[in-house]
Order: sequence, then structure tokens, then C-alpha cells
Amino acid sequence: MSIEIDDLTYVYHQGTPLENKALDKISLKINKNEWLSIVGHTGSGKSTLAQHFNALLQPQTGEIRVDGLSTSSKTNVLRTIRQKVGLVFQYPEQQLFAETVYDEIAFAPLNWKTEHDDLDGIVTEALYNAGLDSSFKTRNPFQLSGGEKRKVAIASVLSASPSYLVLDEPTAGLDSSGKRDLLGLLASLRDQGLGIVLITHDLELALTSSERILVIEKGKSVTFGTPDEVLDSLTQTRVSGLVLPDTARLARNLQDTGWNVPHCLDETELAKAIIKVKKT
Amino acid sequence: MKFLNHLTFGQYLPADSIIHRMDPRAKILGIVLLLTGVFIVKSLNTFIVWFAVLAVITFMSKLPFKVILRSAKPVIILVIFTACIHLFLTDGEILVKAGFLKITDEGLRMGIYMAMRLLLLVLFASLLTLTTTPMELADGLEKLFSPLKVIGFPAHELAMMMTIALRFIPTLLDETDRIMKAQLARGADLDQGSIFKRLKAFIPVLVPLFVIVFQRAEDLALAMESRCYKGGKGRTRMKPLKWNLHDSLAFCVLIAVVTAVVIMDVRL
Repeated sequence: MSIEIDDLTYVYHQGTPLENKALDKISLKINKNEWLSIVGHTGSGKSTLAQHFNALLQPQTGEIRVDGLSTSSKTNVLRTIRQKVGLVFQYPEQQLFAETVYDEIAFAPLNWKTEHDDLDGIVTEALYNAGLDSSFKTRNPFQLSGGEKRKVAIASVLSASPSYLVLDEPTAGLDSSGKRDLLGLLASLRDQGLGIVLITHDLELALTSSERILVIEKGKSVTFGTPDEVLDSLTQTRVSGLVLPDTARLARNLQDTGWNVPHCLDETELAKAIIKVKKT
Repeated sequence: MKFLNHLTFGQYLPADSIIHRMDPRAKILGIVLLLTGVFIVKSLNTFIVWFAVLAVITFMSKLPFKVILRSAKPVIILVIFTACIHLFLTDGEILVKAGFLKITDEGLRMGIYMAMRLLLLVLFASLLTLTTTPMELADGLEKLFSPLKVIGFPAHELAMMMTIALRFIPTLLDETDRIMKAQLARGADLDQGSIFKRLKAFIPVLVPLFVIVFQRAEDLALAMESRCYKGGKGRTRMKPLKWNLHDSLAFCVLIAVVTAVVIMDVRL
């Protein structure tokens, strides 16, 4: 079970002076139970890519298969795909519309299936998975705090019981504890068997949380691999607009001046390596 | 799937052409002049001349013909509808008759007229907006209407409102697109079922859109106030409009062309 993207290209305003190639021959694969991060600078095409995962945008060239279903298919298959792949847009709290949190979260399950044996249970579980308790059900979503609104918005996508969850900059505008909460939440969803696709501009966040990373720049794939591989390749080639985490930058600078230390993210590990070099 | 991913009708397209560089006032007056011409003429042949004029200006603007023609797409149904109304409902010498429908010679003539006029109106107008930034357009209108300030006509305020409205059309289209997509991702069914069902399905799009619009309006008002905006009085411009020699020349040429075409039309 996986999402496979093959050779995807997408051009905005094709054939006009405003033509703009947002994605250029992107290929990747993400399995269930796996966390993939897509890292890129503003305008790198990462949000366009996000909308391809659940067929909101269809490939102009190339192909995307979600558990074997092509996103280039007709309407009925697209609905199945959209149920399988939950998409949390940037600032998802802006999509809230219902009078109560309960209605907001019940929206998605009722859209796919009008009759549910245990709608209340689904809503409670979605709330719980998004890190909220069931006392929120009767509250008005517009009167919640920013962080709570975001959690409700995420719950409103989780309630469709997707197999994959794609999130576009979910940490934007959250404070550091909100950010930590959210990442913990995503990790536990992955452990429950969901495939997580996190789209972010924050390289450090991607390096520390995911199993696989795709770095894109101006719609082109720069590197794709495990955090270690990506860190290695990014220490060698610079990508504009992407800043290496402090520890990794320090390690690189030390290497440049002849120190034999590894690329790493962990301060303790780097400190030990420095001590080791000092002693010899 | 494409929702609102098309170019907004008549959206400014940058290019380096003499038409793009013209003073917006000259362009606005020129279009008014041309459209007056379009609505005065009576002979069918003259419309061919107008289309030729349109083609020449388009060529000079260095925009692809396709783009200009595409701007007529949103009104094509209106054009056909208007033509049909005139075609079937005008009295005159009957050419064809089938049941209660009849086509008269006068109807045929009027139908073609109306279709041509509407098409030219839209095409010329979009030529203006395609080659002029909304900012220039508003500045031009403000300047053109400023003599009326003496009698209390709020030229600056209207221009400012127009600029803001134009400025926010693409933004709001983007927002609508984004919210529609967000709700589709949550399984909303926006384009199936009866009209009533579809209207109801749009509530999850409209509510967030209203929230965003009011939020934006409030933010903008605050931003303008914090930069000491107090209306048009005593306000100067960073880029004052400049009426150059080529604007006068272009305008004279246009007057000559329009007069010539109208005279030709009367003779025909």
C-alpha cells in the first residue's frame, strides 16, 4: 500500500506570458506507516505538489497512483482517493464553517457515507487523535483559540479515516509548544499506521521527524532519501533559501577547516566527535 | 481538476509595447471614443472595419490574439441570447416561419448588430484592461473625473474603491479556490445534485469566505489608517501620470480613424 508519483510535471497558465512551471519531473513513493517530508523554499512548488496527492490537481504529465488507483481517473475514483488521502491545507482553521465542533468534524464522514452507526464515536476519536477532549463537541469553532481551531481543523480531516495524511505547513503560526504537540500527534498517527506527508520549509523539522525527505527547488527534485542521506547531500550542495540546522552548519564549517567530524544533527554527538578529534 | 485556475477575465498581462506604455487617460478616452463609434454605425460592412481596427491595436499591443479572443468567452452565451431575442422578436418582413417562431429580415439584421456590438464592446474593453494595470486604470479615471470634484464628486474615493476592489478580485478568487479545495478534500460534493442541493453544498464555502473577507477588510483599513491615509485631499503621487507626445498622436489618429469609419458608414 503506497502512493507513487511518477515523473509529475505541472505548469500554471500554460500558453500565456504568465506561464510558470511549478513542478518538473517529480518522482517519489510513500508507504503507509511512513513519514515523508517535502522541504522547499516559498514558491518551490510544494503546495502544488500537495494538491496532487488527493487529486485536487491532476497530473498534466506523469502519473500518481494511490494504493494502485490513478488520480487521472474519473469522478467516482477521485472520491475514493480523496477519502484515502486526507489533505490539511495551510491555515486549515480558515475552512471552519459549522456552528459546533461536532458538526464541523462530522462533516467529512457524512459526506462519504450518509449513515453511520457510531458517528459520535468517530467524532470523539478524531478529536482525541487531534489532541482535544470530547468537551469541545458542543463549542462554537469560531470562539476557540488559534491553536485549538487548528486542531479542530485537523480532526475534521482525520474523521474521514484516511490512510494517508498530507499536511501543508501545519506548524505555520504555532508557538513552539503547539508545534511540539502537533509533531507528537503526527508521530503517533504514523505509529497507528497512517502515511504522513509533511510539507514544510523547515529543514530541521523534517530532518528530525521523518523517515524520508524530498527537497525541491523551483519545482525540481534536489534530493530524495533518508534524513542522513539528505543531510549529507545538502552539506555538499547549497540550496537557496534552505538553512541547515545550526549543529549541521557547525559540523560543516569544522569539516571545511580540516576537522574530522561527521555530519550530524545532535549536539551531544558532535561535541563527542570534537572531543575525540582534540584528544588524538 | 481545474476550478478557478483560469486567468481572471481581462487581467493585466505585461508586455513591452507602445499600447502598454500609453497614458491610461489616453487609453480610456480612446476606448470610449471607439465604443461610441461602434454603437453609432449602422452598416454591417463597417463592423468588419472595427474588427480590423481591433486586430491592428492587438497586434501593436504584442499580446497573442488567442488571449484577446478568450476574453470574449464569458459573454458568449449572453451574446447568443441577445442575438436570438432580436432575431425572433423583431417585426418586419418575414423570411422564415415555423410555428410561433418567425425570422424577419429586420430581426436578422438586428440580431447580427447586437451580437457584433456586444462582442466589440467586450473585446475593446478587455484590450484596455489587458494592457493597463488596475493601478494605472484607477489613476487615469481619477484624473479624468477630477474636474468634477468642484461639484463634490468623490473622484479620489471612487478611484481608491475601484483599485481596492480590483486588487482583491484575484485574491478572493484564490481564497475561494482554496476553500473549495479544502472542502472537497473533506468530501464535499459541490457540483452534483439539484440546484437547491448545490446551493446548500456551498454553505461550507461561503461561511469561511465571508469570515476571510471581513477579516481582510478590517486588516486593510487598519493598515491604511496606520499609514495616515486620510482620503485624497493633499495627497501627492509617487508616479504622476505623464501625457506624452505619443499619447496625443495616438489619440489624434484614433479620432481620425473613428471619424473616417463613421463617415464611411453614413455614405454606405
